[in-house]
Amino acid sequence: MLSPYIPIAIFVVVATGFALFTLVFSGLLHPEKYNKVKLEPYECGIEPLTDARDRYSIRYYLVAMLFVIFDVETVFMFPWAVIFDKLLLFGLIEMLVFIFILVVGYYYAWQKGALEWV
Amino acid sequence: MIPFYVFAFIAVVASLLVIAQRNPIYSVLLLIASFGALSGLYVLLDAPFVAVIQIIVYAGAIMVLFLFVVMLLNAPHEETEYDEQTHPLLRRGPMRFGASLALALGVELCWALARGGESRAFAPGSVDAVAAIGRSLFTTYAFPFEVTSILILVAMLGAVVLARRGPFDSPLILSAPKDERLAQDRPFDSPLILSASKDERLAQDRPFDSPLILSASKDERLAQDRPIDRDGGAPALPGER
Amino acid sequence: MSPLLLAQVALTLFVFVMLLSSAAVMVYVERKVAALLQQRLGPYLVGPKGLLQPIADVVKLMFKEELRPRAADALLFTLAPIISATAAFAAFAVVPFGAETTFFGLLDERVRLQVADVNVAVLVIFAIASMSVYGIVLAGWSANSKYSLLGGLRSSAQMISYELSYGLALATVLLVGNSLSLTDLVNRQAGTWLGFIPRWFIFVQPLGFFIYMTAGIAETNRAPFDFPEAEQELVAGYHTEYSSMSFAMFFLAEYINMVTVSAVATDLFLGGWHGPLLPESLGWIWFLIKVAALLFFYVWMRWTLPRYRYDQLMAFGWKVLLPLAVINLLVTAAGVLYFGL
Repeated sequence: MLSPYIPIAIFVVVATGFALFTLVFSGLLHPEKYNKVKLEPYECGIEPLTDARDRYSIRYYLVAMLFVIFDVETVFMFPWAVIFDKLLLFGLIEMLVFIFILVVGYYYAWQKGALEWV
Repeated sequence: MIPFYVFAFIAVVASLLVIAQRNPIYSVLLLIASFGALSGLYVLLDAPFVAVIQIIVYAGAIMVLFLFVVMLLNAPHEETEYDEQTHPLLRRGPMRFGASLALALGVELCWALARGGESRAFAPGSVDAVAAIGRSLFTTYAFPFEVTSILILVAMLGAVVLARRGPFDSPLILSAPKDERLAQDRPFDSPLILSASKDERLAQDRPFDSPLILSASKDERLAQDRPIDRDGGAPALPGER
Repeated sequence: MSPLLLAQVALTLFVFVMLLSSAAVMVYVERKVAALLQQRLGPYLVGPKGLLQPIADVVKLMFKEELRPRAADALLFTLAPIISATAAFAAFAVVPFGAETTFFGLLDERVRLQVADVNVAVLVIFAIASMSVYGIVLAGWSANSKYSLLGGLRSSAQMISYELSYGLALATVLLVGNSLSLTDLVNRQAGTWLGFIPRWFIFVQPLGFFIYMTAGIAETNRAPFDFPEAEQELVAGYHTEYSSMSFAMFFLAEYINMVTVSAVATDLFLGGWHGPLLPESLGWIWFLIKVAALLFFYVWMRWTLPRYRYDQLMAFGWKVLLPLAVINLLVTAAGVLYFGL
C-alpha cells in the first residue's frame, strides 16, 4: 500500500525542482551588466540613505499574536466539526462555553483598540 | 526505516543550526524546517492530524510571530567584538547554560525511560482518525478543553497589554508619526502644553486655575505643586525636549 | 513498476503541467477580460487573437536581467520565490478533480483523480496556506528595500488575518459534511433535493461560501484586497526588487493559488465533479467548468471593485469576517442539531 503522503512529497520535490531549474536556466540566458546604481534598491530614483530594515509599527506584532491565539482556537473547531453528529447538544453547549470565554477576550481586545489600525 | 532517519536527521541538524546562527532570521527558518521534519515523523507514526496541526500552529502561526518579532527588533547582526570573534556555539556563558539544560534533559530522559512500564501505546486507530481524537477531546477531556479557553483568554489579554506603551488608560499610541509618539509618551495628553511657548507654560504652572492640572498625572501635579522658583524658572516638565 | 504506480506518477506530472498551463491561460484570460470590461482589445498581436501572449511573456522574462540589490540577503532573496511557488503547487496536491476512474478500462483498479488522497485533506490545505506567508515575508525582508519591507509586512499581516476566517469557513463545511477528506465531502454532494436542486453545500452554506471566497481572495492578495500591489503607495510591494524569472515565480504562485482556491471552493461548495447530463466518468468536465466560472469571477472582481484602504481591510477581517465566521459556525451547528442534516 502506497502511503498517500508520498505523492505529496513527490509533488513538493517536483515543484521545488521546477522553480530551481527555471531560475538557473534563466540565469544562463539573460545578460548581466551591473553597476553600482543599478544594484541599489528602488526608492523613486533617490539614493537610499538608511537601511530599509527599520523598526516598524508594533501593530504587526499584535496582529501576529492575536493570529496565533485565534489559530489555536480554529484548530479546535476541526475535530469538533467532524464529530459533531455524535456530540450533538452536548457538543454545541461545550463549544458555546468555549467561544463565550474567547469572546470575552475578543471584546477586551476590541475595546482596548487592539483591532484598530489607524 | 529510511524515511525515519531522513526526517530525524533533518530535525536534529536543523535544530543544531538554529542555535549556531548569527542571523536570527535564519534561526527562525531553520526552526520551521525542524518543525516540518517533526511533522514528517508524525506522519510516519500514523498521526496525520498531529502532523498537520504541527504545521498549522507551530510552523505556520507561532513562527510567523517569531519572524515578526525578530524583524521588529531589527537585530540581524551581533555587533560587539566578542560576538564577531566567537562563534555562538563556542561562547562560555551560553555553553554552560546549555550544558546544564542538556544535563537536566538527559537525566529526565533516563528517568522516563527507566520507568518504561508506565508508557502506554495508543490502541491502533485511536490517533490516526481525527474523529477518534475529537471524541476523546470533547467527551473524556471536555473539562481540560474548556480550561484551554481560559488559557487562550489569558494569552489574549497578555498580548493586548504587552503591545501597549505607557499608562493603561491612554489611547493606543502605536501608529502615530514619530513626533506624535514622542509627545504621547508623556503621561498626559493636553495638546496645549506641547504647542504653547515657554511663557504660556510658565503661566500654567500656577496651581489650581487651569484644567491642565487636573488632567495631569501625579508626577506632573507634584512638580506643579511646588512653589514656583522665580529665580531659577519653573522646573522642567519630565520628558520636555 | 506496477501499472497503478505508473498511473500515479503520470497523474502527478499531468497535474503539475496542468497547473502550469492554467497559470498561462489565466494570464491571457485576465488580460482579455480586463480589456473586455474596459472596452479595449487586449493582447491581439502575438499569435491568433493574442493567444501566444503568455509564451511571449515568459520568453521576455527569461531574457531579462536579474537584479538583486547589493544590500539584499542573497540566500533569502533567492529562496523566497521558490518557497512561494512550491507552496502554491503543493496545496493542489490534495485537491480531487474527478470521480474514480479506470482510464477507460486501462487499469485493473480504480484510481482517484487526485495527486494524493489523504484523509485530512482539508487540514492539509489550511496548513499549506499558512506556509505561503513565508515566501512573502522573506521576499519583503531580504530585499532591504523600504517598499518591499512595508509591502511584505502588510500582505503577511493581511494573509494571517484572513486565514482565521478561511479556516473557520472550512470547519463549517466539515460540520455539514462530517469528514476531512475532500473526496468524501464531494460525494456527500451527489444527488438532488426535490429532484432539481443539486445537493451542493453552497445552498446550505451560502454565508460560508461568501466567507470562504472573501478570505480566499484576501489570501491570494487579489483585488479588492491587492495591497501588495497598491502601486500608489508601495510601488509593487514585496516583489518590488524582483525581476526576471524570480518575479515570474511570484506571478505564477499568485495564479496557481487562485486556481487552488477556486478548485477547493468547487469541491467544498459547488459539488465538485457532480453535475447533470454528463456521466460520472466525465465529471471532470463539470469540475473544469465550475473552476473556470470561479476564476472568471476572480478576474471580474479585480476589474470592478476599487481597492480597499489598509485599515478598512484589517477592520473588515477582524471585526466583520471573523465574528461572522464564528457565528456562522455556531448557527450551522444549531441547524445541524435541529434539522439533523
